[in-house]
Amino acid sequence: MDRFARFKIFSMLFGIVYSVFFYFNWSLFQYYPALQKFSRVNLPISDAGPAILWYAWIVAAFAISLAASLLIPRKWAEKIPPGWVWIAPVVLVLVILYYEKHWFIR
Amino acid sequence: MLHVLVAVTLLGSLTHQAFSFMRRTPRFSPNSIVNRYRSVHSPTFTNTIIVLFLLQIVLGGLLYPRYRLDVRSTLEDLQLRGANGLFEIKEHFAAVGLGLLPAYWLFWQPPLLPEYAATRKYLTWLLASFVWWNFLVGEYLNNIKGLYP
Repeated sequence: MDRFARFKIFSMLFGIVYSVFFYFNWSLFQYYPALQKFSRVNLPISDAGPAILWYAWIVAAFAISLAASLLIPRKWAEKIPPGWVWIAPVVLVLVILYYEKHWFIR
Repeated sequence: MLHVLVAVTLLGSLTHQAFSFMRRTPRFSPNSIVNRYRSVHSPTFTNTIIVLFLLQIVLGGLLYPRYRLDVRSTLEDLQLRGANGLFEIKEHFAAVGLGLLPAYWLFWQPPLLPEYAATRKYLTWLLASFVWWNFLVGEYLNNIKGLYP
């Protein structure tokens, strides 16, 4: 268990980083399905159609969580109570549901 | 089609594992379908569930462009904001679930220590809820044209 304690950090951070990127609409790249191409810059919707940012949010969450889990000392990771690993995503789910309520309430 | 088949397999495996945490109830005989369903050797499901979940993410990611161009624009034309919201939540749950996989794997590693039983249970239930939500929303959106003529 201790050998892979850093997995706890990765799992706790992934959802948080993903949510921060989606909340602020940050993305290092976007995919334009109508053009079938990735772009580092925002293209006008009239020419390129709608963009997909989800891929970029996943990549950002993966890269940042991986870097953090490797940088944080293993001893710290071992000290994280196991309960935090499921409590953090439960809180995150509640935040996401609260944020997304605007789709259902006018 | 492959996306649905993988989803059903994942749903079955995760539901089996999630049910394994249920207490054996004396109301049913040991040979009842309820007790047999929950008495599977759940650790054997773990790696399969992780592979299926990753496969689902890849397949979902490949289908996403078609959804964005065809389905979402239809939903917007029909002013079905709620349906769009359901999909938004689906994509967030898929991402949060993806991030949970390393911890899920870690807490299912043998020997299954009793002090981690609660974490194991709640991580499994969380993943199962995400997969159930995503399956039901996916099916709903897939059939939405028939539901709203």
